[in-house]
Amino acid sequence: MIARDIRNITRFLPGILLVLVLLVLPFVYHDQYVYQIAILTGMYMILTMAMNLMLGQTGLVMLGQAGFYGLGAYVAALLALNLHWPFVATFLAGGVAAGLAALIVGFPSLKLKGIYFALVTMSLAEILRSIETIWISLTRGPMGLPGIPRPNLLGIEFSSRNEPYFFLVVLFVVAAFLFFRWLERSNLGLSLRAVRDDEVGASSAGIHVFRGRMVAFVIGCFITGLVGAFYAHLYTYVGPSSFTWDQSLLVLTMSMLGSFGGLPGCLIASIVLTMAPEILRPLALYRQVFFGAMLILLVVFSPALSTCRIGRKRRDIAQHRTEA
Amino acid sequence: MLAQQLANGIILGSLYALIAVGFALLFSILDVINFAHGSLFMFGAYVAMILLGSVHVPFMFALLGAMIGAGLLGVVVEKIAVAPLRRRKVPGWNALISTFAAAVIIENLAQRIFGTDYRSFPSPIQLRVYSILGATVTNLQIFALCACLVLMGLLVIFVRYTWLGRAFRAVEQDSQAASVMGVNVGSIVALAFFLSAALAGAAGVFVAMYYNIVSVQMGLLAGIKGFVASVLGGMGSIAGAALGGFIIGMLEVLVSAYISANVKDIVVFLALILVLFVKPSGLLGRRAL
Repeated sequence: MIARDIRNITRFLPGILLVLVLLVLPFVYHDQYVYQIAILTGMYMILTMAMNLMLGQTGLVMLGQAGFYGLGAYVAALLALNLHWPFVATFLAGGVAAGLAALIVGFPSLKLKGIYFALVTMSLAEILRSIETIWISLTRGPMGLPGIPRPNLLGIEFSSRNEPYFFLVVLFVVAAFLFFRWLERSNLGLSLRAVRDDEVGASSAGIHVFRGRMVAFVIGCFITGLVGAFYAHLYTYVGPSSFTWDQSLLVLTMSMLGSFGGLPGCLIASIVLTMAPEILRPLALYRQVFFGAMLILLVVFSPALSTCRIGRKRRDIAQHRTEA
Repeated sequence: MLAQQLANGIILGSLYALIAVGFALLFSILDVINFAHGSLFMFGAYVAMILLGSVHVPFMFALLGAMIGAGLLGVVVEKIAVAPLRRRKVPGWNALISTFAAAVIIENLAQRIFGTDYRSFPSPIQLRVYSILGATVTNLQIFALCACLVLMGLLVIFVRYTWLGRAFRAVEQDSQAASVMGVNVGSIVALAFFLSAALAGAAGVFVAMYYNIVSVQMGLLAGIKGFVASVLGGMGSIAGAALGGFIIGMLEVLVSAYISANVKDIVVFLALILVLFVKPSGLLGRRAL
């Protein structure tokens, strides 16, 4: 028993130490540019983990994440600007709005198969973006909403400096990671993977396929909405051009490349793909070209993509049967 | 008024149909959605603009050049972004990412080469205005409509009535069996990409001609609209894609005329969602995937 505890602690020690270092860092290191990239990376990490729940765990090909991301951001921005809600409230409201939207949309669309579900979510994101663009009396249209107040947490007034945001993002990533890790290892996660791998087999083993998909979809969109709300308070501006469809595709890419390495794989993929354009900055005007080339190489040579799902199928279902 | 809108709808619809048919061609054979389609469309428009404006060739040659140029670029996209995945038997929709990356590359290179500003497209023929049944149309519009119909007709004839077309259909039905029967699946796929991209290039030329403007960004929206049209009509069905194109063109024009130009995208995507709910395989789709 004690031996296992010690083994567990030594296993998690590097992670715990890393988080502690990251939490102390804002007090001693002050390069704003580095923090800006780090915050962005953290946000993509959470978006990618949310996508991983939907795509990697449940097999929902979701092409409209940017729609829910934007919905969370707009709801938070409007509540903060018009009703002067505090940060914690708008943050949660952003997530709840996206989760509710997912619940409503999920009922008709989750019955559709793979690519059709993808297309419905893509259309939905485009519709949301059109609404953001044309409902000028509420959203100011293409001009967007500037001047969103910065958070005020526990008496700490956030300024344009990035350190407090970084601190917050680290906590957010850790919380999201632990949550998704717990979810993956729970009975629910197991049944989601069973649904992904073999729908008929899973339902014959007593798994409610539709309910499983719905739970994954709503949780994924809820977390996405939370990140959107954070976005609004970080940049103090939201506009429809921030939530375009290549945004969805970027996160989808991160999660596809990462999901086969589990949650840590997602984290690594989001670090690589967020930082790549920054590291390629010396190439100046051609960096997007190199980014694209790198993406193709990753997809073409990534061993994970070709071996995905092989060998997991039977085990997960069998395991679920024995546990149920 | 209504006659005018219907005329506009048919002309715009024929352009969307031409883009959508390219998507359908690839999806029928490969189950691949080519997200670089819009970039190929844009590339065709630029090739024609350069041939017309700088080399001063006759319009027909410029159109042909644009189709061949875009077609070759399409084959390059296939070789780089799709063929390696196909060889490893990765599910088709993984090509979403690699073709998206190819689009990023093409669009950024185009930006470096052609510049980011909007350029005007040289007018190929003397503009004439006709009045048909109360609708005012230009000879350019009539030409674009006829050319779209001819190109789609040629494609259908090719697929239905030539021996290469038969190989096409064989690969579409069962690529493994086709390969066993001596069909070179790799070449057929490359040819499909060439044809699909050539159609996109031609559509790019017509759209540039129609709006008299060329820009690097023009492919993005056209690509999405063409894609929506092909899904609406039934993924992988050429006739369905053409129908979807006309429906979307008509819907856009009518909504812009009688409701508001602002909501036309919303209506188009709502129509798509509705069709997907009622009949996921699209209006003329053959199989439920």
